[in-house]
Amino acid sequence: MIYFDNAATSFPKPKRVAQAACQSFTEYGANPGRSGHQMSMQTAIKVYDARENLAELFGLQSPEEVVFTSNCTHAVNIAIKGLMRKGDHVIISDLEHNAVLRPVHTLAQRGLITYSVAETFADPKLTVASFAAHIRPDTRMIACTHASNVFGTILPIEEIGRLCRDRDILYLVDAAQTAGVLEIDPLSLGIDFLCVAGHKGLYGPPGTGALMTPLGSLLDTIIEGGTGSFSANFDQPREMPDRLESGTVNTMGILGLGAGVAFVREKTCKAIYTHEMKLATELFSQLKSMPKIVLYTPDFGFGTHVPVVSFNIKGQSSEQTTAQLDEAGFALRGGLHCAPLAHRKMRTLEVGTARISIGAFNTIAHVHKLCDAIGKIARA
Amino acid sequence: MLLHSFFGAQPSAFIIRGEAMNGGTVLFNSITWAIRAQKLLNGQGIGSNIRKISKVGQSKGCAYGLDVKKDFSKALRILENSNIRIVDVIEA
Repeated sequence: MIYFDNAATSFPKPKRVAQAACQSFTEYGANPGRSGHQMSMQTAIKVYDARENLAELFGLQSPEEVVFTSNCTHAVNIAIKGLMRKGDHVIISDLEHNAVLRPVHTLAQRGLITYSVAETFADPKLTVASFAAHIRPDTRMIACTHASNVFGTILPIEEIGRLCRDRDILYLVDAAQTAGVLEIDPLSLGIDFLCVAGHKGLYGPPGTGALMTPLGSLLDTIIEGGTGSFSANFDQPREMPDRLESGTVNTMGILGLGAGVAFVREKTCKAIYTHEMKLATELFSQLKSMPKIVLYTPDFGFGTHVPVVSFNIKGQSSEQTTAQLDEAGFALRGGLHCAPLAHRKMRTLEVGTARISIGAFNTIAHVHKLCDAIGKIARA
Repeated sequence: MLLHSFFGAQPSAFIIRGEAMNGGTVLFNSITWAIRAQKLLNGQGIGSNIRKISKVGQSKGCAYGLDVKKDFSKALRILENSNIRIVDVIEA
């Protein structure tokens, strides 16, 4: 089987990730930050190392700004639900994943907030203008994806960040598809809340993610409980990261994530992105030349896209295509990819799209084999 | 001897008799802060050991103590300059 579903979760993982995760069963099996014995302390240090690794990858001011979560969705929910007050207005993009859309929509359904959807364009200036046009006096946050999980389109997050700073609006970026692929410096980009998946471009185990923010102490909590700190106090501590990390953390996942981040830092985001985009542009070019193949972006390239390509074969649904490719030995995802707004925009709500998402371990030979297989299905 | 006890103060608040200190324990409410402090001091050549302390003051509950046997005053100054959040300082 050749794996092309890295936008859902990356596979394979670097060997060191499995080794580090296994250490939680063999060496670092105690509860970190709870007990006083040596194994607990050693485990806590390993968790800290992973936190520090993430902080350094994203140029944070201190490791306490990293909150370990179960996934990117979890991180987005902590930030949005912790921040929004009755009467607030939020702007999201028309490419959002349900990770952003659903928490915002849920709060709106409850009558707490209102939200607007900004249209995105190939021209970044038009996209920024679209966000600007939706700003109102009660706009408290812009929450947008860094890159579409369906079409790979990169949003102009730097310019949107500038807009947020100028208008004193909080800024959340969903970097599920870009963390570990594109260099992200939240401080210089003006990002207040950076939400990442640990199990995609950072090569950690599934069930890992992180919220990175210097504003964690200001958030209302959606989960309270034991933190191993201030234990006699009935109130949830303000101190970060404890405030947002109640309950026993996912040591196995975090240790693996730390190793995944170390892998990315060694390779560098730039090298990973260059490798993956070489494959993606070759793939896009081959698909574009095939009859019966429908693509959804007129262009695809470095700087404007991440290595995620959606397509369909005329006359069949995306799920039919991915099922046929599965039988031929290729793992792709079909359907809506939890991003109904993006499909509404591209008019693919009925058929979905077959999505090819490339990872660091894919090769040009993989791409050629996949294109051969798609060609055969299209010609049949 | 407990010198002070108020959460969130900076180390400078504790260096009343700092120059005379030889060893002592710096208290943190969170294991994350304790490890950060330990790593910071290690990088400056100051060894330390973290231990769990079950009760701090009248109501705060669990804390982590960083035992520093040598260069305690220097250690406190380093932590102060790095904005490390200290709960208490106990002189040896």
